[in-house]
Amino acid sequence: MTDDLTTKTTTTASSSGVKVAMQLKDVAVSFNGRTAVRDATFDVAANRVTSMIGPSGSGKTTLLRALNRLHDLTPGAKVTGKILLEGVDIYGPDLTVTELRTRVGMVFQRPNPFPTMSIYENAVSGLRFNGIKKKSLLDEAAEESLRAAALWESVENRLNVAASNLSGGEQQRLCIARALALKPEVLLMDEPTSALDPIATLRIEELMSTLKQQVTIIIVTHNMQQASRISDDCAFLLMGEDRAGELIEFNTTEKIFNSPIDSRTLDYTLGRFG
Amino acid sequence: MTTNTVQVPRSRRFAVGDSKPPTAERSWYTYVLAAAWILFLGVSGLFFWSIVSKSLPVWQKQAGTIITGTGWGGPYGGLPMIIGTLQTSLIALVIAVVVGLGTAISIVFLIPARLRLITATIVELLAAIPSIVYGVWGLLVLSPWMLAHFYPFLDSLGLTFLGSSNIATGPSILLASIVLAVMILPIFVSITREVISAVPQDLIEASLSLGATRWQVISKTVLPTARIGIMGAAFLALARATGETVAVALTIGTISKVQWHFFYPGTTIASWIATAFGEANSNDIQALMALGVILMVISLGVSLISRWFIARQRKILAKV
Ligand SMILES: Nc1ncnc2c1ncn2[C@@H]1O[C@H](COP(=O)(O)OP(=O)(O)OP(=O)(O)O)[C@@H](O)[C@H]1O
Ligand SMILES: [Mg+2]
Repeated sequence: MTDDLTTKTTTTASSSGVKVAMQLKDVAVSFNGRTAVRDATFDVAANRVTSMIGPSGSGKTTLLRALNRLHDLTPGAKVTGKILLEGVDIYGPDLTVTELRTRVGMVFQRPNPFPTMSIYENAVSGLRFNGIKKKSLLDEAAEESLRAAALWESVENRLNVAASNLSGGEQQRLCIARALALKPEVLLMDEPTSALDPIATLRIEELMSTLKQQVTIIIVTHNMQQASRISDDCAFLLMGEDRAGELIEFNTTEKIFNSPIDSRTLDYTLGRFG
Repeated sequence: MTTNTVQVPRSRRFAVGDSKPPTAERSWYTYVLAAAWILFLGVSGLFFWSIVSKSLPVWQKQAGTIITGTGWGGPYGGLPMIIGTLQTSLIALVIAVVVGLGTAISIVFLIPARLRLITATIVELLAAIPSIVYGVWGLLVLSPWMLAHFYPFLDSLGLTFLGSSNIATGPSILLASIVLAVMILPIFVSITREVISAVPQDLIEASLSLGATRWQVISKTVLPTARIGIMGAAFLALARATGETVAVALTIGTISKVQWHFFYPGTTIASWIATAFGEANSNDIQALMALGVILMVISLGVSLISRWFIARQRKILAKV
């Protein structure tokens, strides 16, 4: 373990006095015995944007989905190591999986509002899942989360139309609003702009920089400029010899892009492979 | 939303193979194919024409009575058959939907992969059994059991509007409906299963990520997203039930009477036609043909509704 860490270059945010939202300790995920990603050890600082970059197949999505236990559904999937949310083991007995998921929200690659629900119903769907029925509470949460997702102005007058009437970018912001309505501590985003045009992408990026005041963001992205523009910390993953992804380097985004310690990080950020 | 970049030829006449076949060969098989097509048109045209023309006198002389009348012979009344058809197929549908929806959900979401295969095989098997077998089973197995246990049980619940178990003889609207329910279960289950499997995985994951329980994922996300397609499956099953003949003829008792007490015998259009044909005179035959036209219209209508639902479900999923 200590041997391992000498070759890894990870900083822990806690040492610099920043509040830690999530901690990953030697996290690995395997499917039917085949390791997809391993050696993930880093701290996710609260109220910052942490990006995960790396070539296709390096396990970014796999690692991200371990953080809200979405692998629970997949037969044959196994997560090892420790993942802590404010110090509490998310796979332990002190946190139910549904509570975890209300505290750690997720936005997917493809905008996926519920097709049979209106904009309003989409925005409050998480609250409804959690048993909240009071109209005034729902109304308040809908407005607040739609405002937070910078969508309120454009949908205020058509809250009851089907969500499928929105543009792709608006749908993705609705999905962000839907997650925010539960007031999560952490928001996981898996390439949230890869299905969007440049203008819609820009709006989501702007949104993230304001959102981080209220929620910690972990974002997977293929887009190097995006990672350097919007993230404060950055994790770089790469496939090892056996094709399993592993964490190569974790540091502030500034260091990862300007003075990385591992030469492979430099090669990747300069676009020399992957 | 999506633009087709691939041009699909409207007619595939020249799209088969790399080059046009030699003229002699082409004319040879073109004629065969055209002949088959004309034969098909001819046969179906003849079919519709003969049924309608055979029943034409009935439509001219007593179009109202065949739909609203209750006696058979003299004027011919089809009301008992029409009502019986609707009763049996709707009761069957309710039973099949309740059992089938639970089964389909279990197959997709609850049971382990190996059991899933076994269940799917049973569904296929049930679909392949000829209806005469269902009819005989209903008559010889289900009927005595219902007489001994099920009618008295319903009696004891105080459901007197169904009839009295003391008077029931076995064949009944209820018996035929239950047999029908078993018969339409496979088609309902297999289509419903397909429809709910087609609900995108990322909607399920989105629900879970919002703290939904597994049951909420099913009730609040999967079923609402699939509901139009499930309606389509229900109407397809209904179409099958309205036309079923042999199994119903064996179990319903075939009495031309509007029957609201489901413990007692009644009839349906299809089973009435099948049983009455044997001793029918030429007038009877015209009336039976007219009943056939009515059945055709009902089945066609139900099938069209089913197609409409299934097409709409496709559109919903295409938008997701
Ligand atoms: N459900 C699964 N079952 C089996 N293997 C899986 C599963 N999900 C992911 N994997 C494997 O895990 C590895 C990492 O995949 P992952 O999707 O996490 O990569 P990624 O870094 O997100 O790639 P991309 O940039 O293309 O999205 C791949 O080899 C993939 O085949
Ligand atoms: Mg990915």
